[in-house]
This record gives sequence, structure tokens and C-alpha cells, in this order.
Amino acid sequence: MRVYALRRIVQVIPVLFGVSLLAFGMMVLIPGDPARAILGSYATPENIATLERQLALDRPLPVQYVTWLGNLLTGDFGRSYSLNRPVLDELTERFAATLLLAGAALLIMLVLGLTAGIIAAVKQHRWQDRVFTVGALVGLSVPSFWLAMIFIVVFSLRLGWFPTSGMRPAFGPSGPMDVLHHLVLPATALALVASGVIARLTRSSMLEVLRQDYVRTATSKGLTRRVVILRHAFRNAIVTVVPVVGVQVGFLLGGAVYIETVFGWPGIGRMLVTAIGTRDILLVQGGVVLVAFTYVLLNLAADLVQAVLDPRIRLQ
Amino acid sequence: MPEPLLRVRGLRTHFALDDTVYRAVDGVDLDIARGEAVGLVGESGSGKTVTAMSILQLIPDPPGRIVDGSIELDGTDLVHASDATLREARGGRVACVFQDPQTTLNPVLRIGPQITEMIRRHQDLGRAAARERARELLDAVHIPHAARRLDEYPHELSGGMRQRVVIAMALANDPELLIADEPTTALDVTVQAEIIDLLRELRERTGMALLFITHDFGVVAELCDRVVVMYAGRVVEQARVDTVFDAPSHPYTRRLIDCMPSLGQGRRDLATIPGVPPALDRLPAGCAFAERCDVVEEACRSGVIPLEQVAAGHLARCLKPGARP
Repeated sequence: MRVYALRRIVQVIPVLFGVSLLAFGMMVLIPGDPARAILGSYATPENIATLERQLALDRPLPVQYVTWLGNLLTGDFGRSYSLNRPVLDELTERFAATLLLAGAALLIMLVLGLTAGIIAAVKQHRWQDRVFTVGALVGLSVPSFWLAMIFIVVFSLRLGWFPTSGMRPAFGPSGPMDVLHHLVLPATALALVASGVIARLTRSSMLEVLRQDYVRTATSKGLTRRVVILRHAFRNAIVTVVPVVGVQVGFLLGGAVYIETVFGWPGIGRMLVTAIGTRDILLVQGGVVLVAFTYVLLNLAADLVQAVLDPRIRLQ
Repeated sequence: MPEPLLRVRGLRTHFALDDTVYRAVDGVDLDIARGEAVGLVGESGSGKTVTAMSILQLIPDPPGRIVDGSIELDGTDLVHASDATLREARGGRVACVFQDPQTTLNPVLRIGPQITEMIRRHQDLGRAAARERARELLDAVHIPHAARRLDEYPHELSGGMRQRVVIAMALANDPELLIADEPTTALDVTVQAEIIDLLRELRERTGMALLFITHDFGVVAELCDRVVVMYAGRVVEQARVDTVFDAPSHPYTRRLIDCMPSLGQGRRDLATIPGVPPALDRLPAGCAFAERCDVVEEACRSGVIPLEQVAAGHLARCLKPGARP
């Protein structure tokens, strides 16, 4: 296991490197001049040239990249000009809010997706299976931002159960109940769509596993159906589901961009949308790197969890 | 005759797939006395595995279902038993060893827990005591370094070792009946012999009854007291092992025995039985073996051929028992 883990961790390093290159290149390649964006359309060429020199934008690209990456590695993400505060402070605060949202959505997704998948497989061809299969398909087909707006219309405006927006920075002074209250709708909207994928995969994986000889062996031991399904069948079925959970986390982080915009959630997704508009390069680059790193690391974690669950994977 | 340990009467297990009903087991009677070893013999698809798996209701349902008949274990009906009664029997009084040890052990669980969960399901033992019992069981089936094996995964063991683990597991609660479904078919020839020896040794030591499913008459001769031959979902002959070898009554049994290779016969082509068994959704009237039989006559192709006594303790489902071409 230790050898496998070490190998997988080493494999991640070039991926992270590539991510940083992409994040850097993206802002260089897209049209729009940051110095002009900062100074406005009436700035003189001299002013722009001066600002570019100050921001080191006049240096060759490889030099800019190496400098930027070197700073990142030492924890210096630079300063956001539009917010006039260190990028790292802004990222930390925003990312906490996003993690809270995505984490809650992940939890809901796992509970819903796994439960629905197991029940659908165990009750194959019966009404429970039909309900969950159709439900999963609908969930898959619905865009999360549309669902988010429907949620707002129904649960906030009509029923008045939950607030439409107005989430303050996470872990702020308003207390955990207030945070939870704000969290329910966006997290559910985000999770419902993602749980469709998990439910379908869990169902097919369980159906495959339930046919296996070792499930019959487990039954022949006199174990209850519940133990056979959970300890023997599900324990095997989850092995193929775990890596997809890793991928779905990417979907949750990405989907958070829309959901955060719809619900006015002070997360990193909404921050990125704003920062792209204002050409706040360092903020965008820092944000993209942070989200991408998180995604890569969570996938690494999923792979390691999978290897813990199935000893045969460590041999590959 | 004393009350048998297992008494199966008129068992019918059918499989319904796409509106077609396959009569995999179609009226089987089977008795197993305490301590007796019975060989259940037949080709693939003859219904021997389905018969054996019906005893503990290990048939996948759907599509399989016991549609008729009774299965009594020591007088308790298992067909209509509650789930709880059935679970007591499973792994307690009746244990199973299956065909392919590559697939019958759970690949993601260590050997130890797989055995101890079987022990603790039926005996009131603590964790440590169950583990100690598991180690003893592995010793009993001659697995070297038993204590270490408990912490290994199935894929770390060879096929023969895995089958020993499965057998050890089956013995965990001192079953009165062991159902072994072709336990050697998936193994190398030399390993097959070891497993057969092990089963014989364990039977001598524990006195448990054995239902041994196989298509190999040679193994039956080594291991069993009595043999039941199945064809197309029915019993076609049953008798003591020596009787069957000396004087098979059903042409199918005779030709199965002819298919056995044996030493000292010089070079000869191995016999085969031409043709294939009838489709289980379209069983013909009369004898199901008629199409392939070398002594068939017109009367064989109509009506129901009963299973009749040809001698004491020897039954055959044939109008011309013992006939030769």
C-alpha cells in the first residue's frame, strides 16, 4: 500500500505542474489588456506602459511564469488590484465558503446516490427501481442552475422556508444555524444533479456484484440479507464508484460557479466570475490553481481510498 | 429404515426467462441418511446443481423458483420455512462448498473475517475466540502457517489453498450435511486429488453427511456410498456405488461409466455419448434420454416413465433396465 500510495503521489506532481501552466497561460491568451482594464479606457499609452512595468507585464512570458510560480510555491499569491488586498486572504475566505457548499453537496450526493443505487439494484424491476432510475435520469438531465432557480421560486419565494441569498462569509459571526439555513437550497440543488450519476453507477455496480459467487457464499453462511448486501455486495460495488466520486467532486466545484451566482454565495466560483470581468489576473490565476489543485488532490484521495478498499488494485 | 437427515420429495425448481419456463429440476426425490455420502452425477444442465442449491434456497430468484415439492431437514420443512429458520440451517446444520474457489471468496475481505463471521453467526463466541477457532479450522484442512493466512486476502492464496479455506469455513459450525458442488472441477488434477482426500478424511473424522455433486464417476467411486444419476431435471437411477459400477440399469448411467478413462485398458478412444440433452423448456414425452439411447424402442417415446425398483435399494427410470445393445 505504501509503495502504491507513493507512486500515485509522484504521478500527481507533473499534473499539478501542467495545471499551473494552463492557469498562467489562460489569462495571457484571452483578449483584454489588464493594464488598460485597471486604468480605464482614457489612460495614455505612457501610463499603461508604466503600469505594465510595475506589474512586470513587460517581461518575457517564461520569466513572468517562473517568477509567478516561484512566488506561489513560497505562498505569495500576489496582491489583487481590484480588491486591494492579498490574493491569498481573499482566496482563503472565498474557498472556505465554496468548500462548505461543495462539502455539504458531496455529503447529500453520497447519501442520496448510494442509497438510491443500492435500493434500485436490490429491488431490480420493481417499482422502487423504476422510481429511482427515472429520478436519476431526470436528475442527470436537469442543469443545476435551472434547478437552483426553481428552488428559489418554490422554497424561498412561495413557501418562504429558506432565504434566496445573503450568505455572509462562512464561519462568520452569524452562527452555525444561520449558515445551515442558507446552505440547504444551494447544496441540495448542486447535489441532486450529481447524485443521479452516482445512483446509476451504484445500481449497475451492485447488479454486477449481486450476481457474483461470493454473494451466494455469504448467503449460504446464514447471514441476514442486510449483512449480505452491505458487507459483502456493497463493499465490492463501492470500489468502482469511488473514483467517479472523485470526478463528481470536480463537477461540484465547477457547478458551484453557477450555484454561487444564483444564490449569491460568497464562494470562489462567484469570485472568479467577477475577477475575470475586471481582468484581475493574479486573483483569477490563484483561484484557478487552487480549484484545480483541490480537484487533482481529491482525485488522488479517491484513488487511494479505492486501493484501501480493494487490495488487488495495489498490485497493478 | 431410520428417518433420513434430508428428505426431498417431488422437488420442482423452474426458471422463468422471457416467458419461457425451463424445468431445471422436475420432480426429484432424494434421501440422505446421517453420515451418508451421496454422489449426485450428471452432465452440465442435468439439474444437479439446481437440486443442491434448492436445499438452502440459494437459487437466484428471480428467475429461479421452487414451484413444488418438499425439502425436510430432520423433519423441518425448508421450502416453506421462515427466513430465520432458513438462516439457522444455512451455514449451521448444512454448509456448502462451491465450484470455483477463485470466485466464491469475497475478494476485498481478509480470510480471517470471512471465517469468523460464519462462526459468530451461529455460535456465541467473542472476537478472539472466533479467530482462534478459525485458525484451528485452517489447521484442520492442512493450511500451513494458518495464523498468518487469516490476515491475507483470497488473491494471495493458490486455488487449492482457497478451496481449503472454503472447506474450513464450511466446517466452522460442525454441519450435519456438507453440500459440495463440483469442488474440484476448477482445480489442477493433482490438487483435485488432495481435496478429495481431505474431504474423505474430514468425513471420517466428523461423521457428517455429504452431498457431492460431480460429473466424474471416478470421484464418486472414491468418496461416496450411494450415487444418484440425474438427466434433464430428473433422477434416472440411484443405487449403491458398487451396484452402479457392476450393473448399471439405465443406459445413460452405463454410458457415463463408459466415458471414464481407466488405467490398464491400453490405447482406446474415450467413449462419448452422441447428441445433446433435450432443451429444458421443451422436454419430450416419454424418456428424455430416448434420442441418445442405444436400446431405445417405441414405448420409450410416450407416457411417463416411472422410477422403479430394479433390486433392493436400486431404482431406475427405464423400461428396459440393464439392457445392452
